[in-house]
Order: sequence, then C-alpha cells, then structure tokens
Amino acid sequence: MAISVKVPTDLWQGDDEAVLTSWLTSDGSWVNEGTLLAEIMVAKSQFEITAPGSGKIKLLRSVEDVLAKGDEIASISQ
Amino acid sequence: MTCLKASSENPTSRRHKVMDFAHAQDGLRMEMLLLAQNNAAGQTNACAMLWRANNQSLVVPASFERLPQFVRAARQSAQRGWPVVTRRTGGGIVPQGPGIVNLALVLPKDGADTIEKGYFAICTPLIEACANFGLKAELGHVNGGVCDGRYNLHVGGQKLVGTAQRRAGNSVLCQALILVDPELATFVGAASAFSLALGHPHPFRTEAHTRLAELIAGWQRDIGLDAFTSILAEILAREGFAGVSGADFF
Repeated sequence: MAISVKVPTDLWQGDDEAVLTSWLTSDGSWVNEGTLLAEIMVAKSQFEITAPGSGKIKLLRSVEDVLAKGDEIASISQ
Repeated sequence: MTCLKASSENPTSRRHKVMDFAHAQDGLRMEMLLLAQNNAAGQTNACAMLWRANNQSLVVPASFERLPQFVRAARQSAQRGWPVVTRRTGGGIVPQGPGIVNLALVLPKDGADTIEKGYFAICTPLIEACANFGLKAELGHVNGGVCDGRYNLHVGGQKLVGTAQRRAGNSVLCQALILVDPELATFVGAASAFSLALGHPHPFRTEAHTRLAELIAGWQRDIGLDAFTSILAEILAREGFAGVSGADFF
C-alpha cells in the first residue's frame, strides 16, 4: 500500500501557492516515518514536510514546482 | 543558551539587551539553535531574542544557491563590501548590519498553527511598540521594498519591518527585521546590484523604506534604540515570551 506525501491543507488560510524549495531525500531511497523529506515555501514561510510512514519513496514533483494545498509530492511504498 | 521563564515582576523593571554578533550568520545560527532546542524540549517554550550583526552582509534564502549566477553574483557583492550568506527561512534578499535589529520569536506550533497566526504573533507586539511612539504601523505589501511580502510592517506606505518564518516540527521561528537607523540608500543599492547580477530586474527603491530614526521625533541613536527595545521587551514579556539567557533580554 502506498502512502501519499501531500502539501498540508491547513497550513495557511488563503489560496496562495507554495513552491517546493528542496528535496532532502532522493528518489528511491528508504525513509522512516518522521524523516525530514522536503521544504516548501509560501508567503515567505519555510515549512518542513516529514514522512508520514516508512518505506521506499518515489518523488513526484521537482524543486521549484508550484504547489497548491493538498498536492501530492511523493508516495511511499511499504 | 536556554529560554528563561517569563517573569511576573513589574514590567517596568525588566532589563533588555540587543545581542551583538560579529556576523549575521552567527545570529541566524542562534535562531536555528533556539528552534531546535524548543523542539527537543517538547515545544513548551516561547522565546524572544533581539540581535544585530556588527558587519554588513546580504542574507538570502538557501534556495538562491541553485541559481546559475549565484556564485559570481555573490563574489561581486562581496567585492563591493556586501558578502552574501544564506538563511533557512523564506523570502528574498535582505540586508544585515549596522542600524538593523532583528527580533526572533520561537513559539509552539499550537499557538500559531497557521502561517497567518505566526505573522500576527510577531507583528502585533511590533505594531504596539510603534504605537507607543505615535507611529501607525500597518501590514501590507510595499512596492519597491526589499524582500517584499504581505506581512511587512509599513508606516505611511514605507517599509519599516520585514518578516519571515520557518516552521519545523512542533515549533515556529518568526523573524522580523527592523530598520532602526541604517543607511537606506546604501543597502538598497547593494540589494539591487546583487539582484541584477542574479539576472532579476530589481524593483527596489530607497524611498520605499523608512527607519525608526526618521519616524521618531528627537531620535538619538542609542537612547532611541534603548527606548524602543524596552517597550518591545515589556510587551513581549506581557505576552509570555521569555528572554534568552545570555541575552539579558528581560
């Protein structure tokens, strides 16, 4: 079963778009729950995204991609 | 370096101090340490730190390092006397150095669970401190301001404070950069030159900025800063923020 890694939907109130500023893991690597995966920026705020579960990660988006609330940026297969 | 407990003593007796660092990266490093400490401590603390860098520099988000022109642009900026350092919060190019004071707040995410609440947590005390000096500071974009954003504080349309955040684990780091008495044209020129070298047409304008020294009648350099930070420290202490030991802040 794959676990989605998504941009939080409750981090900000408006319709601002975020930008994926960095990946802190690499495609295909093993990650553990809680591992720091990526950073996104919205409204001059840098936000850390951590792994919601453990497994092998597939990166679905690239650095500098524009993101909306709830967008899936990676999936983790257990 | 740890957070002290907020004092319940008479606010007027609180001591305060702006921490001096040789370089901006030292102050930024301390902010990150505070953030990490707060997470390690179970996000129970709300800390405040005022600091300044004695040497001037331009500070940019770490993501700028990926720009193809970054290395050359940074070298040229350093040759002009403005070395470039990176930070781990969002935004754009900001100056650091004489005449600029930073306020850093680290607070539990529970108290600022959205980005908007984080900005209100740091802007509200600053707005109140300004009001104590008869200044009406307001939130909003400033066309031509360095590192522009919706949560700037401006007075009469001129930028006085820039803000940013970093949200990590269960804590939030909120940053505010206060223009106390810097040479506005100098830093705007340095930021513009660096931005241009990165290939970005620079929209920065000196007249889009202001500083406390111009806004507060009868400003005298050290006395004015002391008065402003005293008021700010009182407000922050009242709101439950503790100073950072070693900073002798409250």
